[in-house]
Amino acid sequence: MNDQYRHPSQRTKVVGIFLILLTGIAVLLLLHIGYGKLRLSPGEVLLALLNQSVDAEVRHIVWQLRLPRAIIAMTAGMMLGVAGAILQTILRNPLIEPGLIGASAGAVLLAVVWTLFAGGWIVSLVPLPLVALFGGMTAVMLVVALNTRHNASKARLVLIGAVVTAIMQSIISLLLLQQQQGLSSIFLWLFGSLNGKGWSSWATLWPWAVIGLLGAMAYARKADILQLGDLSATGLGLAVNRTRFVLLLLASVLTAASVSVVGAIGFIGLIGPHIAALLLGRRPLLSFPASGLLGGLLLLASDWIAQNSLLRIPFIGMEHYQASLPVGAVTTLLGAPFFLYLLRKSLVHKRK
Amino acid sequence: MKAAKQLWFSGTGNRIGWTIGLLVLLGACIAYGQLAYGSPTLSVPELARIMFGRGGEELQRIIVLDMRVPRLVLGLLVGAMLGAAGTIMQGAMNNVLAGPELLGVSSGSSLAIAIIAVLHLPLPLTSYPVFALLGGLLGGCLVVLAAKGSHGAISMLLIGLAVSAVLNGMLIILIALGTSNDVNLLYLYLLGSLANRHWDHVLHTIPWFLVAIPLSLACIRLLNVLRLGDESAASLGVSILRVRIAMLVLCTLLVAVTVAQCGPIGYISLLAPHLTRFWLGTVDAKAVLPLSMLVGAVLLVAADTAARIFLYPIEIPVGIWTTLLGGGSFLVLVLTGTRRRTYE
Repeated sequence: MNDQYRHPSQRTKVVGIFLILLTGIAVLLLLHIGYGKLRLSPGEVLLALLNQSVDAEVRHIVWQLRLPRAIIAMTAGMMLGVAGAILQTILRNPLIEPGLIGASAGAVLLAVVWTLFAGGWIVSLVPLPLVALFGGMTAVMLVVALNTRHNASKARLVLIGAVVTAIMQSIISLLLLQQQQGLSSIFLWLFGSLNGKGWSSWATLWPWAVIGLLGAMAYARKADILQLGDLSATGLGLAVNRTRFVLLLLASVLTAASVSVVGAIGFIGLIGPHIAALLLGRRPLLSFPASGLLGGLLLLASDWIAQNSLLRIPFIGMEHYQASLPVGAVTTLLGAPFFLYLLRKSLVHKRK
Repeated sequence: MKAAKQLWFSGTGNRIGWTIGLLVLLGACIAYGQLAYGSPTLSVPELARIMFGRGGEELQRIIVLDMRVPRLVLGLLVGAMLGAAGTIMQGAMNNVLAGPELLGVSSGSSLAIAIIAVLHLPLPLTSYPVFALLGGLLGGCLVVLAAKGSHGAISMLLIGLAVSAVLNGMLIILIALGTSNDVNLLYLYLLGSLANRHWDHVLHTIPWFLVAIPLSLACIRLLNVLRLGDESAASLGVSILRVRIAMLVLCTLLVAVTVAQCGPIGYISLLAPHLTRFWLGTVDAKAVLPLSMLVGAVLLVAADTAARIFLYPIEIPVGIWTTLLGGGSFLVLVLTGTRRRTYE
C-alpha cells in the first residue's frame, strides 16, 4: 500500500511536512492566544497555560476566553478540512466542499428548525449535532441524486449544490427573521462566527470531533481502494456502496458537528484538501490527516485575522467601535478567489 | 413591420392578446390586495372613496395614498425593469440560465450601495443609481473577464458564482464594520425589500425607467438577430461584440436602478422571460420582451403582497420569497435543460 512512501527520501518528506504543519499549528495557537486587545508574549502565554502565571487576570483571560476559542477554531477547521477531503474523494470531484454541496446549509437549516420549533424535553434529549447531521446528509444526498439522473458532470454538481444552498439559506433567513432573531444569530448561522465561543461549545464539539476524525482515519485505507474505481475496488473485495455511505456519513458528522457550533464557515474544506494534494498527493491515507491539519491551520489563521484586522482600520467616528469580523467573511475572501482559480483550471483548459 | 403584422394576426398573436388581458386582470386583483389588506384592511367602497374621491379618514388616506400606492407603483416599475433585464441578458449571452444575480451584477451593485451606506458617504440619493451602475459594471466585467475562454452555460454561471462569493465576502466585512443601527437596515436592504418605500423612491426611479425601457424595446430586432447564432448575425452585418457589450451595459443599468431603490431582488429577471417563453411557446423577442416586463411586474407585486400579508404582522423581505420561488424554478431548468440539451 505504501510502496511509494517506502523510499527513505519520500518518507522524510512526508514526516517533514507533517512536522511543519504541526509546528505551524502550535505557533498559530500561541499567536492566537497571545495577540488581542491585551497582548501577551508567547512566554507569558506558555506560563499562563501551565498555570504558572502570577497574574490571575491573565490566567483567566487565557484559560476562559482565548484558549477555548483557539482550540474550537483549530478543531472545527480540522473537521471541515477532513470533511472536504472525504467529499472530494467519494464524489471524485475536486470542486466540492461541504459549503458548496449543501452539507453545511442543510445542517444549519435543520438545526435552526430544531432550535426554533422543537419544544420542551425533546431538545435536551437529542444533541443538536445529531439533528444537524440528518440535515446535512439529506442535503448532500439530494444534490447528488439530482445530478446523477442525467449525464452527470462535475461542474453541474457544483451548480446544483450552490442553488440548493441558496434556497436553503433563504429558508434559514426566513425562519430567523420570522422569529425576529437578532442579526448576530443570523450571521452566526449563515456565515459562521467564533465570537463568544467558550468551554460549553467545546463540550458539544469534541466528542463528535473524536468520532469523526478517528473514523475518517480508520476508513482512509478503504477510501484509498475506492479511488481505484468501482470495478477494481469490488474486485479487491470492498463493499463499494457501503464504504461510500460510511464515508459520506463521516463527512456529514464532521460537517454537522462543526456547523452546529461555529456556523456555516465556508471554503476551509476546499482549500485544505487542495493544498494537501499539492504537498502530498491525493492518496487518502496521507491526504486526510494533512487536509485536517491544514484546515485547522487555516481556520486558526483566519480567525486570528478576523479578530485583529478590525482594530487597525481607522474610520471617522468609529475608532472606538468594537466589533470583530465574522470569521466566515475572512475564509470567504480567502477561499472564493481560490475557488475561481480551481474553476478556471478545470473548466477553461479542458476543452469539451 | 410585415413580420409584426403576421405575428399579430396569427395564432400566437391571439394568444398574446388574451395573455395581456389575463395578466392585467391578475395584476389588478393583486393590486387590490396590495392596497386593501394590512392594517387597516379596507373594503372595496372604502378603498374606492379614498382612491377616487376625497373620502375616508385621514389616517387611512395617508396609509393608502402615501404608503401602499407608492409601494405598488415602485413594485410594478422595478418588476418590469427586472423582466426586461433578464430577457436582454439571456438573449445577449445566448444563455437561458443567465440572470443578473448569478453573473455578479447584483452583487456588484449592492456592494456599491453598501459602501455608501456603511461609510456614510455624503452623496445625494439621486446619485445612488449611478454608483450602483458602476458597481454592477465592475461585477459583470469581473465575471466576463474571469470566464474568458470557458465553454458552456454552466461554466459561466459557476464563475459568476465564485465572483459573487468574493463580492459577498467584502459585503459581510462591510456589514460587520457598520454601527449596529445601520447593520440591521442594511441587512434587510440586502435581502431585497420593497418595505417603507415612498413617492421619493418612485420619483427617483421614473426618469431611469423612461430612459431604459425604450432603449430595451429598441433592442428587440437585435435580440432576434442574435438568436440566429453568431455567424448568421455577423453575416447580416451586425457587429456582434459591440452589440453584446451595449446590451450588457443596458442590462446592468436596468438592474442597478432597481438595486439602488430596493436592493437585489433575486430571480425575477430569470423567471419572467422563462415563464413568458413557456407560456407563449415562442422565442420571438417582439412578443417575449414586452410580455416579460409585464410578467416581471405582476410577479414582483404578487411576491411583495405575499411578503406583506402572508406572515402578518411580521414582514419578510420580498427578496427571500423570490429567491425561494426562483431558485426552485432555476433548479428545474438546470435539470430539464440538460435533458433537452438547450444549452452546453
